[in-house]
This record gives sequence, C-alpha cells and structure tokens, in this order.
Amino acid sequence: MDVTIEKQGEVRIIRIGGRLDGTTMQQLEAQFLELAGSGCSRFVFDLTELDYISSAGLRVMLLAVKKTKAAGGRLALYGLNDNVSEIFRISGFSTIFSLFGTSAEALAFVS
Amino acid sequence: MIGGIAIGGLAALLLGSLARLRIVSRQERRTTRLFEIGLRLNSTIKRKELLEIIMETASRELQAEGSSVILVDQKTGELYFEVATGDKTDEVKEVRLKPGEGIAGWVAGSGQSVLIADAANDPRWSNRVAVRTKIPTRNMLCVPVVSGDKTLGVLQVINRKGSRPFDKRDLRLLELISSPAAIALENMLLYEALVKSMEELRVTTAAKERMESEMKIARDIQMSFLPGQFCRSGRAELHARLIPAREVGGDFFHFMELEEGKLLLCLGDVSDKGMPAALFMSGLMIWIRAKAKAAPSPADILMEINREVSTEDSTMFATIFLAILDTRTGELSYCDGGHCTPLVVSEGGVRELDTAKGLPIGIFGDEEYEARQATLAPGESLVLYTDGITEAENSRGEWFSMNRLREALAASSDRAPEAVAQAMLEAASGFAGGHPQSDDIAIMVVNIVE
Repeated sequence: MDVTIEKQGEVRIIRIGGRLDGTTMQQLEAQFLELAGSGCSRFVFDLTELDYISSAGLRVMLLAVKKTKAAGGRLALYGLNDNVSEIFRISGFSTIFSLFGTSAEALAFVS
Repeated sequence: MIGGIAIGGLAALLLGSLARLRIVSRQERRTTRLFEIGLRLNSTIKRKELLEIIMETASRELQAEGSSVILVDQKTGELYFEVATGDKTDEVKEVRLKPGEGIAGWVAGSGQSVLIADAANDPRWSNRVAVRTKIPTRNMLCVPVVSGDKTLGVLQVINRKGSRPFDKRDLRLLELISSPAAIALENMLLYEALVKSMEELRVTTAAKERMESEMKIARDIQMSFLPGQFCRSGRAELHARLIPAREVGGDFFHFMELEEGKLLLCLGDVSDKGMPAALFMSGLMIWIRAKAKAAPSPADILMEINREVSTEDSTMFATIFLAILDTRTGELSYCDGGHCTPLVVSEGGVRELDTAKGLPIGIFGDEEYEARQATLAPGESLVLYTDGITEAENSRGEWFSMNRLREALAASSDRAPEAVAQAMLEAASGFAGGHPQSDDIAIMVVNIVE
C-alpha cells in the first residue's frame, strides 16, 4: 500500500494505492490520526489506485469518518474501482460515506 | 705447540658445540613451553577465564608487572578492556578506546607489533590508560591478536620486572604467545555467538508459542460459542460449518428454535482478527440469544443488538445476516447488516436474495434496519456464507469469487445441506490449490424438505 498526502488549503488529499487490509491498515490509521491530531478536519480520499479493501481496511475508513464527524469536519471519497465499489455496497458503507466520481466534486463537497 | 694448538682448537670446537647444543636445547625448551601455553590457552572457552589465563601467561612468560588483552569491538571498531591483571585490575575494566587511539589502537589498526623500551620518552605513548590506572609505564610490548584476516584485539604487557626493559626477543616471544591466544579467543567468540543465537532462538520460540497459544485460545472461544452444526426443525434441515483460519478471523453463525415453528438464522463476520475478534464475536452470540427471545422481528433484534455493541470510539464492527424462518411454510423474514448477499439454490438455478443493505452492526448505535420477506419453496435452499469463501485466493492472487461460488452451487446435485456445504468447501479449496486459507470460512445451508 502507498499513501501520499497532499495539502490543498484547508483540505488534505489522502491518496491510497494498492491493498488496504489487515497488514496495511495500521500505517494509514497512524497517518490519519496524525493529521486529525494536528487539527485537520477536511479530507478527500483519492482511491483511484486502490485495488482492494478488506473489512480491516473499512475499519480505518470508519475511524476516519467518525473522527471527522466528531470534529465537525467533512470527508469525501472518489475514484473507487468496481471491486472496491462493490465492497462498499455490500457492506452498506456506501451509505455512510460521500462518494464522488471526480476529485473536483469531492473537493467542492468538503470545501 | 702443535699439540697445544690442537687442544686449543678442540676446546674451541667443543665450546662451539656446547653453545649450539645450548641453543638447540633452549629452542626445544621454548617449543615445549609454547606447546604447553597453547594447550593451556585452549583449555577454556569461557571469556573471563580465558582472558585471565592469557594475561596471566603473558605476564609470567615475559616477567611483566601487568598485562592486558584489549579486544576489538567487531561492530564499532572500538577497542575495549575486558579485564586486566595486576594490582589495579578493576580500574581499567571499562576503558574503551576509539579506533586507532593510542598504541593499542595503532597496533590493532596496522597489525604490527610495537616495542616501547622507554615510555616516558616515546611520542607514540598515549598515557590515557596509564593516567586512569595510576600505574607508571616504563616500558611495554604490544602485539596484534589476529585470526585469519580478522584482528581480534591486541595483547600487551607493561613494565618488565628486573633491571633491563623489554627487548626484541621478548617481543618475539609475545608474538608467539599471541597465535594460540588468537585461536582460543576466536573459539570463545564463536562459542559466544552460538550461545547468543541459541538464546535468540529460545526467545523467538517462546514468543511464537505464546502467540500460538493465544491463537488457540481465540479459536477455542470462537468455537465454544457456536450452537452446533445440525438442526432439523419442521420442514427445515440445516447444516452449518465454520473453518477458522490459522489466526481467527471472527466469523460466526447462530441458529435457535423460537416459538411457533420459527427458526432464527444468523451468520456474520467480525472486522478484526485474533483475540479481539473472538471476544467481540462471543459477546455478539450472547446478545443474539438474549435479544432473539425478547424481540419479535429480525429488524428489532438487529437494532437491539446494534445498540448494545455500538460505542462512540470503537471501530470494531460485524457484518451480519439475520433471519427468522417459518419452518412450516418456508416464509423468511430477514435483515442484511452489510453482509455478503445470501444465495437461494433451486431446481431452476442460483439466485441472489433481494436484501435491503444496512450498515454492519457496531458502527452507529441508532442505525435502523429494514426487513424483507421471501418464501423458500420446497426443495429450495438458502445459502449463507462469509467472504472467506468468495475471497479464497489461489497462488496467482485470484479470488474464488461470487461467480465460481454460484457455479459450484448450480453443479451440486445433492440437495442435502451437508452435501451442499461440502461442495462449496471443496470447490473453494480446489480453486485455492493449497494456497493457505487466510480468513475464516463460515457456511450455513438451510433446505426446505420437499
């Protein structure tokens, strides 16, 4: 899994590539908590390069959405491939995330 | 006169021979002595004993007031004193020298021996050690201790007893002592490395055993909360299986007979592994049992359980499918908490059960669940499973997938629940082809008997 973080004004764009599962979730969790801890509350997750997400991976996403809501912030996802999109659908997670097709829409939502 | 010369010549010859004999016998004594030293130095591989023997031998053979073995730290290149004989032993124990520092450093670095006959007037002399120990150094010898191409350290003696200082012959003798000392030290280091790696092996083995035993306990907890594998109630025949991965994946299932021919069915997957998953799962099983008796419908049961297991800061959740089957009519009322969509197998083929997707339980305490209804016709089977089946992986990283699962179910001619479950497992494990199972597999098959 690769994670890169880009700063765009108040918004942090978190790009995740590869597999987000039980073995990689802790890395993302640590990076997200650091951002949240430093006061960021507007996030866009770019999942264009994400191949797979397991239920452990969903837990980190859940943590992100819970923390962001608690801080009164906003969080958006975009670029889910069919595989990842299906996992979000089956698990019901598509109902608690704001999912978008493009980065512009996602950015507009959180800004 | 001639006789006098002859006698004189003979005497000279005799004296010469005697001198040669003395040299020969001295060399012989020396060889014997060195042989004895070699034996003595190799009599132990324990660090403290060995260093003491080397130093004590060097001091005695060279008639020195003190001696020390200074070892090279193979990691840092620093020189350090382990022990030193002589009166001030304790005071030099902990000295470490930078690579190349002092006479010892120079000898270790260059691999050449050094003889200092008059320390006070030799610019090479670093008095760092001497100052610390307060032993005034008059003269000294320092030779490298080399094994193969590795410098293990240096051997040094200071202050020859008696009137004359150390000379070249003394230096040669110390060099001769250094060779067996090197072999003995090398053996000691090998022994220490062996002991260290054995200790490391012991520690990793112990940690591994602890982990294995924790994994076993987690498995035991998980398995002990399951209700069994078979159930026959009314016209329903049920078979359920759970095959835990090496590390528990938190899959679970439950079934229990309720009033009026109703049967509660439930199967799910906790979003964690190992002990935390096993404990969460065991809690869920208790809540399912408790709430199923109190609440009338699947949606109410699920909402009640969800309220109990949802906490503000926890991110642990479980996908769950929960249904109540009327075993007399085949009517099914069910809720889908973010779980793998169940399948219905009939004569005509395999179809997905139409569910209203809700969130897994444990996420938001106020989540509402919507129940749907369906009817299982006689001969039809409801198939519940976890992603351990659909995501069973082969060595190329491909998944067994929903499509292959449907194919396997369509191909299975035997409608008995146990046979269907077995066919699913065999298809998935045949596909994985020996690639290890990374997640739990849970299956429940309920058939309405014709």
